Amino acid sequence: MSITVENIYKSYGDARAVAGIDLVVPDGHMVVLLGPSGCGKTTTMRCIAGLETPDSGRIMIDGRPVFDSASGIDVAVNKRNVGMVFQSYAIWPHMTVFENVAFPLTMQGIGGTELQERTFEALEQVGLADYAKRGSSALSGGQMQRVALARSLVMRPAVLLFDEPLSNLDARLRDRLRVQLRELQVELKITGIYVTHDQQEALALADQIVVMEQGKILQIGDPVDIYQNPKSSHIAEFLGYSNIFPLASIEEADGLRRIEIREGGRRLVAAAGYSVPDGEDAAICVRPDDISIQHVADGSAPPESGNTFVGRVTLASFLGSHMLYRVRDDDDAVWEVLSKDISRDITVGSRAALTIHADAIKVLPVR
Amino acid sequence: MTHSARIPAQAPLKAGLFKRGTLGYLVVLVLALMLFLMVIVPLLMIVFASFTNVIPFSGATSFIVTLDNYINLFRSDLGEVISNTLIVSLGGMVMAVSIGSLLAWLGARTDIPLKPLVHIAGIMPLFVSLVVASVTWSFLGAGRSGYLNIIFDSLGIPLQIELRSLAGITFIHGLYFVPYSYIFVYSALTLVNPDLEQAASVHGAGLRQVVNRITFPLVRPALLSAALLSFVSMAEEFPVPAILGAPVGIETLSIRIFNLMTRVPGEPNQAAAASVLLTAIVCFLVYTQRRVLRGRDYRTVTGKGMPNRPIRLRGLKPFAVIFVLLYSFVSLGLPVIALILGATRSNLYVADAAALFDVSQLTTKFIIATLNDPTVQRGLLNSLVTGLATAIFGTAFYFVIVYVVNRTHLPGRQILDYMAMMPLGLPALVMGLGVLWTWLALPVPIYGTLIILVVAFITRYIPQGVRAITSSIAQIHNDLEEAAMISGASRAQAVAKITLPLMRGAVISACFLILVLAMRELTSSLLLYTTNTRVLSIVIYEAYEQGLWTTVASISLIYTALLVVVTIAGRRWMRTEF
Repeated sequence: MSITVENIYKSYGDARAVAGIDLVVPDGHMVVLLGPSGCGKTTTMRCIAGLETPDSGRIMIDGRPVFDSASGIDVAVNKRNVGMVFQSYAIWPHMTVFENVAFPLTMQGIGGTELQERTFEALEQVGLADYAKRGSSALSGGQMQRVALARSLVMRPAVLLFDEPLSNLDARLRDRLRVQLRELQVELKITGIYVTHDQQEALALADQIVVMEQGKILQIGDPVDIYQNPKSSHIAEFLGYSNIFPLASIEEADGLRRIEIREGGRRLVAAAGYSVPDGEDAAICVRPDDISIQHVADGSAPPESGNTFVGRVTLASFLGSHMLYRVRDDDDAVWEVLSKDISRDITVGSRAALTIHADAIKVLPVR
Repeated sequence: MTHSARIPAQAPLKAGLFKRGTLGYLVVLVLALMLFLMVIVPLLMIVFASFTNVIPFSGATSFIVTLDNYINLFRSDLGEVISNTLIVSLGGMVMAVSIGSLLAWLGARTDIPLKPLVHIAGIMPLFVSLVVASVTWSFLGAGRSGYLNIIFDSLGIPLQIELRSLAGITFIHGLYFVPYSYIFVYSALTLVNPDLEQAASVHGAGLRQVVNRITFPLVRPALLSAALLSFVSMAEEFPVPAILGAPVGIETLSIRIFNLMTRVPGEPNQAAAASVLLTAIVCFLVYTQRRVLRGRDYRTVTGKGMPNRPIRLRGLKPFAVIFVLLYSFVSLGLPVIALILGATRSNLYVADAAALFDVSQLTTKFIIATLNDPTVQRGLLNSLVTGLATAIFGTAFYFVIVYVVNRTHLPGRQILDYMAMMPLGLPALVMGLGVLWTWLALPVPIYGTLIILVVAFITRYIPQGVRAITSSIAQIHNDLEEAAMISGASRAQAVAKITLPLMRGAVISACFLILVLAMRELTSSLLLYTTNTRVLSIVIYEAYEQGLWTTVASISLIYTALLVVVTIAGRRWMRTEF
């Protein structure tokens, strides 16, 4: 079961939602479409499902064209054999859990023991076999979520689509279900497309991440690759690089780069990386956990040298396993630091020294 | 799980005859044609007639285009007619909106006891036939023989009321158009989160300040909506001025149209001109309402239920209760007593208050005679048949319109929406006239049958029915239906198995609403009925015209009982959505 999307375009009036998307999802893989709201990720998925009709392009499911503007093919949504888990779950409130899950089989004309067996099999896969007889409107969000998943699994779809299915759940439940979902997807070798704006979800679930914006694909890669090598500061920002500062100049020297931040003019040393074409805006991107922080006693000499500099702490927020700091340096730039060392000395108003390893500073084009 | 997937066997559908959506286009086309025939053609007929000297398609072979109809109309005493119309509508509006919004606030927001009574007081008048209400109030307060005047006289109170006057018509309007304001403001209030008011209290506002600065501004769009809708309804309304005004020579625009049509010789072209004038006024107001309200919906609808924390009335409680009881008694209690007296007194002449309540004078022989009257029986049957047919076919028709407009991307669906709202701008009497001419012109012989009444009623209630169903389809997330289609259901199956079952309550409630409205309708049937197709409201109106007091009271009593039975039967489905 594979999906191929070729050059899909879709506009609503003057607004272009999807502008030329190409995508291949190999059998048993999970591809995550990641991007801010309005980037076209949901529209792309709904085009694959058949809930929207693209203006042009071609979509193949398992080698069979289900949409092709050139030859006028447009297979109806109920004939495409795709499953979908909606953001709102879309659990039918007037049916029991069992009836909800059995619905796709009823539509295929399956009844009797096969219907019973397959429905219970799907319910067991999501751990809800005991809930079969329950009315569905009294379920919790997490349970509805799993009913929706069972309803999609039961039809043994060629491809399973997930439309931000975890976004309406609270944080703890979201973390747990994310892991369960990945386990199930790998175990059942589900071919899937997952839409989200949450980078953690994307990194945890994907075999491949597709970063989208304004209807276009910005970058495709496996999660580790994307996380370590974003192609632009814009993508980096989306992946949790919270320290992003535009640059005034870059000098190449001895395999290193001497750079100057535009605002304030701080000079730092960065490792070589992407080459930024002349004349294009560049920025440095640093992850908050790549900066180390040390207490500086009042009055003591500031250890300023190379990539170490001093600032005043404006925020110290305890997150349990980490401490989140905001530090305003003497050039008025604000740095975000995530530190595993929980020091009671570093408090709001105190001074602290920040050190960034040259390898941790990524110099990237803005776009 | 093995993905021994069932790949659907059929080959991809080719473009052409069976391309997706062909059926959809057909549905839109049929709906558009039906609405065109029901709404636009009648209007065109009237506009045409107003600018010529012939009735459209009446067999005349030639016609001249002329402005004479308008000139003659304005040469008559039109100024007085228009000012009458404005007085009874404006005055009625002020009274109805004041009472209705106060009731709504008491019922939705305060700790007033007897809340169900507040709700009944706010809604029940909607189900009172205006024909019956006007007739009854003419028993109560028309001239010296009005029951109330007799009572005042006997008690030595130097007060005489006269309902057959502009003030009387205004009063009846103000009394019986309360439900519009009640329903609009009540539903707006229940959708405003009480937290907003409580936040104001926390930040130092007293009860008056909370109401003035928070509650009132939040429900102002609803209030405005209710005010304009009541104004429009009163301006075009026929039965009240016909029963209370016409006998003493007071004319409103709709009375003028009716008189022009029915006097001998008739002036149908001048009636058409007056109709165009009335329609223009109504359309202007409806348009203004929509302009004013655009983008001003402050309702904060959350998925979570609203906390129920009523405002405490404290010392004002007795006054509030007295107000509710007084309104209920005047609008519902008094008329019922008057109807019972009118229908059961054996002697029409009433000397004083003691004689009025003299039990020995009471008899059921008139009611029994009325029940055995074939005209009444026929009217009863006709009312039931037209009411049920309107409710069933109308609701199905409205549902299809609502579904296409809200749940499809078919081209032309916005046009359907516009056409569906147009009857709001069409006065009932004008619509009756237009429908009459349309179906006389078309080679479909439904004039003289009940079908033409059903067509007129269905047309008249398109906006109400469409709105009631729209508000409930909006509450059913589109995902529910799409999930069914993803699961392999066709659109028709998805509607049948998911959407319709979920909307059952709302659809039945709309059905009952249309049934009651159709059964109390007089105005649009006035120009359409024939000897065999009189509905009950027509029978009452005719009996009143002939001065058959006891008969009028008896039929009214039966009619009211019927409406009450239908309303109670539909009560659990009846929702306050319009």
